[in-house]
Amino acid sequence: MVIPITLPAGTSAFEAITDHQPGYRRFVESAAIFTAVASTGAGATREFRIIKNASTVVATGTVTLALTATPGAGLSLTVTDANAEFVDGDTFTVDSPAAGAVAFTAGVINLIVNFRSRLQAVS
Amino acid sequence: MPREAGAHGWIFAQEAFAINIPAGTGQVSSILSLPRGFGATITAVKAVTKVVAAGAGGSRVLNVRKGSATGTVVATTTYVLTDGATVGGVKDIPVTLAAADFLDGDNLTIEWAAAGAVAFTAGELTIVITSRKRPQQRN
Repeated sequence: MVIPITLPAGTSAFEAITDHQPGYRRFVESAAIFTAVASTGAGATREFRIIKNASTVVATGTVTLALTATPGAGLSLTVTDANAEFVDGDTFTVDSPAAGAVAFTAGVINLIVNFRSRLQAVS
Repeated sequence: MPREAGAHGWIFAQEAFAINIPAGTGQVSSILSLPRGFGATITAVKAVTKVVAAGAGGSRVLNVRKGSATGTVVATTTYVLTDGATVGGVKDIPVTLAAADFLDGDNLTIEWAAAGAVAFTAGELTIVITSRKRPQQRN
């Protein structure tokens, strides 16, 4: 799944997706961020995370000005395998915490999340 | 809710489409007749706010259709200004399961209807479509 995200201005906490419920069991296999529109903002840096339910960190990576200066450039997020299983009722959030943030003033990224799942039966 | 199954189960997948909330009140197809090319059933559609919506009283009917801009409505909602008030917010677009089977030749359209529209002036969405399909055989 490809999730386009406009890099937020300022340094406040930010959620690109809040509590989306996929509704079936699956695992986050990998995740990566690629630059769609080159960013600006001197010294800019923001951590992006995939969160399960309220606060379980599934994947994380830090986007910097240098990494997003060129469309197509990107980075792989670090996935914590032990947290990567989503069951039916789990929610999926993409956020960027305030801690450590240095503001971007422009830029768009694509978050690419690869899932794997077993074949499913329908109730 | 789906459950894991044996060899004859379903494959669930999600696709995301970035679209703008169109200005004005005319009919707009954000995606028009996208070929799918394989059989699948849409089970859920969500609209995630990417850029906050603007436009006093903004309200537009958003349809996911099978076929063209006049095709069968698979999922529909009236998207209003408050639905797009917060980046990251998720709005459900209810699916009519009886209409949600796509065959090999069926196309996908995401369309904003003209009827009853009150104009937005800004806003962007990510449409997340969940679908299920059987394992496929290649020709």
